[in-house]
Formats: sequence, structure tokens, C-alpha cells
Amino acid sequence: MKKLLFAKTSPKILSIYRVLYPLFIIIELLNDQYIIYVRSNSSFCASPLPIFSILNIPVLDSYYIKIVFWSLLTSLFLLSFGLFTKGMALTSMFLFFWIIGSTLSCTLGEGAAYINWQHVIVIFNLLILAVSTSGTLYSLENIIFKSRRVSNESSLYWPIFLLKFNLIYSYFAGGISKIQHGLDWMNGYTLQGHLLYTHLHIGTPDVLPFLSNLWLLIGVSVIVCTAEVLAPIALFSRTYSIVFIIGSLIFQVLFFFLIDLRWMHYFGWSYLIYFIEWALFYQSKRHANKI
Amino acid sequence: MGYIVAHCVVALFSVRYWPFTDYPMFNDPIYSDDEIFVYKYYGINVQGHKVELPRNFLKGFGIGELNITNLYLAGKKAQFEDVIKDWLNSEGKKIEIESVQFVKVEVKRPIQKNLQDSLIYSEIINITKAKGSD
Repeated sequence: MKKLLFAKTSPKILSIYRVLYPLFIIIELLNDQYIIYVRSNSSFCASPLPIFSILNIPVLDSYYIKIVFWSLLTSLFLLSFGLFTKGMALTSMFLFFWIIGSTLSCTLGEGAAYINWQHVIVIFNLLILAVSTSGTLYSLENIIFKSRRVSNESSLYWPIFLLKFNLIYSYFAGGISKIQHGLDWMNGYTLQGHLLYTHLHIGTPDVLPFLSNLWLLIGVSVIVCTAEVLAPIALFSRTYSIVFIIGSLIFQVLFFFLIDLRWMHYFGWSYLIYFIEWALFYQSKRHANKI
Repeated sequence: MGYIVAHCVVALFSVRYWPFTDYPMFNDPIYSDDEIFVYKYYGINVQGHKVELPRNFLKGFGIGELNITNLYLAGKKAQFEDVIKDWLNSEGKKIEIESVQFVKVEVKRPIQKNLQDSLIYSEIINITKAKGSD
């Protein structure tokens, strides 16, 4: 494991990720209906999340949320451009935590905030960018302070591994929490119940043909649970990682059309690390073949 | 390594303390005899026609609807009625709704091929627009 974490790799992967990831998060923030709602409503807060009272952080009201919102966009832009990279990643992480925590706790309350988990990974991804040397390439600070050189540390594999881990962990943790009740989650009625609830709540007609087919529901439940629990294998096997990443994307797209599942907002951009790595691997392979 | 171990501990012990969480993806098991229900809002116009109100009828991506349902569930019925009455007397005019019905929709198991045959509707509360508010 230690050998894997401290293996040398191209600094390009992490640097390209640092350029792109904040830009996609900015797009998500600008289109986030919850934030738009909170920004336009003066008194909205119902039940702040406990972490806010423990850390003594005030929940943002609609006036301050506008200020923090624009500060967050600025820090994400600077992170993408690579100016004060570590500081901007840390600032973005805290501001994102503050604004999303305030928005979730005040629009949904504590219980529902955990169900809306797709933002959580952004906080941890920004943390990884803050503690790594993601600003090594394609950054303004590299142009301004030309004395900086690509160090050995910048090409260590561990930040890439941890970004991948964040993504894989989200499925693994979901799988573990399902099998904590034994095999009950795979009884077919569970998936039927959740699909039914969503259908009744927001109207998703495409899911209707599946609702009465219990064996199909059991089959899908078994596949979902098994894939989630075995997800960590994708961290160590290239072949399995391709199968898992493509499979989970198909799953997300399918459920988006079936039950309007919008987990890919924020969360979906975490897949970038794999796509950047594959693209660079393919490029270097082509380059090697030419030689 | 510490980062990885800490996350795994959160997953294995199913910790839910935002933003540290086990990523709950619809993970509670549901059994064949469990009750499944949702609350819905219906608007009734002057002619007595009933129409399901969109989730954002109180603005805000279903959040307003969720908040007032929570008010009802928390037993704050007077507050719940006030919110809908205020809406009826202001925004409601735009879609010509005279009253709002808060309805519980339950699902009878086993589910029939035609889902409508499995649904039971029960009116919970009927809130009418205040007189002279036009």
C-alpha cells in the first residue's frame, strides 16, 4: 500500500484536475436551486446542523449567503487558475462547507441533509487539493514565480489515489450501510418502496413497468449491493476500475431517467480524476507506439 | 493512511454527522407489509375542478412544500394553515385556486399492474381562501 501511495506519477493528472474541477463546481453552484431559493428568501432557517453549533459557526442568512456565495466563486476561480492554490483550495473548502451546510440545514433539516450527500465529496476533494501540490503545472503562480520547479513530491501518486478513494468510498459506504441490516435490503420490496415513493412524490412514469416485477427488483438490488461492497477493488485493479466506473455511470444515468435521481450534481465531477488519468495514459501509449 | 482509515470507520459504524457520513443511498430496508405513503397538495378552482399542485407551488424547488409538510408533521397545524392561507390569498390568485387540499396517498400492497388501483387517497385538511381577499 505504501509503495502504491508513494509511487511516482505525472504531475499533469492532478494539475489538469485542479484546473477543471473547480470550474465544474462553479457551474453547479450557479445552477443550484436550493442556493437560488435561499439567496432570495430572507427568513428560511428551520434547524441548523449540529456541527454548526459545536464549531460555533453561524448559519448564513440570505444577506450573508450572497456575500459568501460570490467569495466562494472567486476562490474557486483562483484555484482553477492556480493562484495561491493551497490557500484557495482551503478557502473554497471552508466556504463550500459553510454555504452548503447553511442551505441544507435550513431548507431540508438535519435528517434530510444526510440523504442529500452529493455535496460532501466536494469538501473532501478540495481538502486533497489543499494538502497536495496540485498547482505544480498549468498555474498562474508557476508563471509568476518562475523559480518553482516540478519537485519529486509533486509527482507522487497519493493525492490521485485519495481523490479516487473519495469516489469509490461513497459507493462502498453506501453498500456497507445497506448490508448492515443483513440481506434484507435485497428483498425487492426495498427497491420497490423507494422507487414507488419517488414516483408518487415527483411523478416518474418510466419506473411504473418495473414496480410490480419483484424478481427484477431483487436482481437489481443484488447487483447494486454487490457492486458497492466490492467497489474498493477498483482502487487496485485497472480492469475492475474501468468496469466499475463505466457501470456506476450507467447506473446513475439509468436512475436519472427512471426516477429523476440527481446525485450526479456535484458528485459526478469526481469521476474526472479517472477520465483524466485514462486520457493521459492513452495519449502516452499512442506517443510510445509512434516512437 | 489515517484519512483512509478514518473514512472506513465512518462507513463501518454508519456514522451520520454531516459532512462525515456513510453516504446513505436509500439504505433503509422496506418490508412487504410496510406502509408507503406521501403527502400531496391539490388545488380546487371555483368550478370545483381538482388539480395536483406542482411541488414548487410555494416557490423554491419543492422546498416550500417540504417545509410546510414538516410543519404539519411537527404538529404545528395553525402555522401550517397560515402559510397556505397566505399563499392562497396572494400567489394562489394567479392560478385561480379557491382552496387547497392536503392529501395523504397510501399504497396498498401487493401492487397492482395498474398502480392507480393500489392507491388510497385520504383528505387531511381543506384550506379555503379568506373571504374578500380578491
